[in-house]
Amino acid sequence: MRTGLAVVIAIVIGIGMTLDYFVKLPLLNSPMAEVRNWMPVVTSFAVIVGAVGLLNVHHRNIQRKRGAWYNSVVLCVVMLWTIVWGIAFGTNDKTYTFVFDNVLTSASTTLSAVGALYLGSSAFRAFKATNVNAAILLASGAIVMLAQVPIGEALYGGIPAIGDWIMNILNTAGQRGIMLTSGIGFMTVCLRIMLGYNRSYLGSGQ
Amino acid sequence: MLLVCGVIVLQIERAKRGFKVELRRIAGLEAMDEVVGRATEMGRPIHFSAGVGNLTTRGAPAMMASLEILGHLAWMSAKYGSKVITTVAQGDVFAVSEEIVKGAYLRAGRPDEYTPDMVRFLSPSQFAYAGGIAGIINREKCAANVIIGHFAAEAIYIAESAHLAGAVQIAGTTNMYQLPFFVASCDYTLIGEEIFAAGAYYSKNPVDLGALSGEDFDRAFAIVLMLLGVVLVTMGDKSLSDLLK
Amino acid sequence: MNFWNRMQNVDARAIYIFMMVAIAIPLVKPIGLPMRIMPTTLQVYDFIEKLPAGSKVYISFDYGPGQGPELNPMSTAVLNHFFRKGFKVYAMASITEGPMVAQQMLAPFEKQGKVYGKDFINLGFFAGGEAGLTALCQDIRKVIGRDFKGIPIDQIEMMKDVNKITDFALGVTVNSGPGGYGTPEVWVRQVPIVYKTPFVLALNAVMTPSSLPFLQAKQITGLLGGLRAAAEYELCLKQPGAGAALMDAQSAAHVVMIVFIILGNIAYFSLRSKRKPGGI
Repeated sequence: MRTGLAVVIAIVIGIGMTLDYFVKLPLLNSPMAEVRNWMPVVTSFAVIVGAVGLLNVHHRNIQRKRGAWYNSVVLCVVMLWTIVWGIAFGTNDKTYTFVFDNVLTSASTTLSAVGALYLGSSAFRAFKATNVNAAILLASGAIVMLAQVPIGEALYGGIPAIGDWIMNILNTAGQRGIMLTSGIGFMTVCLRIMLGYNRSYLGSGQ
Repeated sequence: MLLVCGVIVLQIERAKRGFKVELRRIAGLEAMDEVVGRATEMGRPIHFSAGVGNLTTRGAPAMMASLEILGHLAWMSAKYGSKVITTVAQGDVFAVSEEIVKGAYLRAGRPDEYTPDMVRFLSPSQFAYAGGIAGIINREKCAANVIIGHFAAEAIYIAESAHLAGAVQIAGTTNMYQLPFFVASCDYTLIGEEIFAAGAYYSKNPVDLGALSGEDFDRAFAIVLMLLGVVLVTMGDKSLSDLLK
Repeated sequence: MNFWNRMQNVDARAIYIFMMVAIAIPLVKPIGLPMRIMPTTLQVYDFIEKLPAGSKVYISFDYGPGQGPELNPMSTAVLNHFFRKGFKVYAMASITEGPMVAQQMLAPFEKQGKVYGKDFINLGFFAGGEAGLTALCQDIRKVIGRDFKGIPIDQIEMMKDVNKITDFALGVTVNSGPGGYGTPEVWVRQVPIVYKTPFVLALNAVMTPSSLPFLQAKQITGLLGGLRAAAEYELCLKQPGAGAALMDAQSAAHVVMIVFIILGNIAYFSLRSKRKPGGI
């Protein structure tokens, strides 16, 4: 009964939203606009669900002193402080801003920088001219990389033009192909949800 | 749009009535067995991530497809006695993933082997999420890393740190700008819409197979339309391109 | 084990060290390589330059602090241009960290004398992703009731006569493709395509190739891609900043990567020829 009701809601809202985009009919447009206005509220509550789940997992780690459980203590303390302080004093508060600027920003930037280094090592591994296709990929990748930076133009004046041609013609053609097919795939998944065939959002795994 | 959807519905109905749909081999999806087998032999867990998308916005179709794969992976892991650790970045995905993994263990006849820490919510923040995954893969010594879904800038971070930890990787996303990173770092990559084929690939359900077949017709129709458009515009007739604007 | 064998199996940490040193040196001792300005950057600059003073523009900070090093120079350059032209700037964000990033970016302008509520406003985070954006485009007040400081937006002078997305002369999203929220495709689908309003995508370099189809199809007004575009924009404004300073470091990083890739390929081919019959 519960599953059936969820599926019916998904079908009605899915079809309603789709028709709302194409049809100008106040009887349809007003309720769908109201549903859209409720979406921010629903998605905000989803964040709470996730946060509770996270605290659950780490609270169990601490209780059983499992693995590096002291990291879980740090996580729980920082998370609860952020939530409580943010609600009590607002996210515009000086202390909150200090923590954001000096803890979160520094940590995120560090991870992002490590990602750049990882890119270097994976490019070294992946860009081997093992066959003709790989050689073409390697050559075009090197040209585009040099075209993006001033040293490319300093080495040879024609590199920016070749790089632009590769990006605007070859790359765009390929991107459009993938975009088109992904778009058709999206439509199929959405259609299957709207017709009730796909119920993975209910957690059945089917 | 009516034509595209109509073809899909028609093919679904034909498949339900017995129309046979042949699927080509998709290496990344076939490798799932190998991945589970490897993890079982090594006695190490499998890590699964559906990415940073959620079930209500742009990444939703990729996330739905990814959750179908999670269902299959969790069921196989349960059947062979391996452990799957699923990390999620969004609250709505967390709730659904928990149900999927629990249901998979139940279907495999091993409900007592399911533990709540098999599904972990990390953070909606990209790099915090990636850092959490890197930590889990290294600490838990995961034998395999299956990352299929909606990924952003954290993709290279996850893929490369799993590679350095020695995990075999299957990746897939519809985000075009992350595909090159996956191709460079992972053993198997599902490109774009190949992830949507997963449900049909594993279940052999006529509805899913019919939908895939319908997609093929739609793709052919799109190619015909493009070629027609190119010829007409070259001849100076913009009526088709104006119609489709 | 000879050199090429070692090269083929080089430790990743060696690559990291070389890259770090190559990036650090130009930061300490800039080279100052000349740079041409790409047509895509000029397109955005010219469009903004032609807008009349006092125009209302919105800028959405859809990136977290982790993407700051690449996108902050772009945000700063665009904001510089906006304030120089005397625009009313409305900041918002489709991700939770966005408003705090907006505060970081707007703070220097407040110190320079721009007044909050009169010259700029931080509307904060709007929830709901694509659905939230759709609702915001139709009626801002349905989605945002208070600004980032908690002040009801109806009490703010700048919000008079601002009700929907078409009330703005230009929109910009500085975007790192945040998962599930306001990715570039979401913005393009919901704003310029539906309302035919001018819209600029300011993205990190990795996402630029996949957004070129939007620019070529004239669905967006302009596209700024990566640190390079930020540096070029600073040159257009004749105000070199962080973007221009970091270009030398980016040049060095690209050169190091290409050198390693070339060495890796030489190692691959020399070892392959040794393994073939008749090889040395």
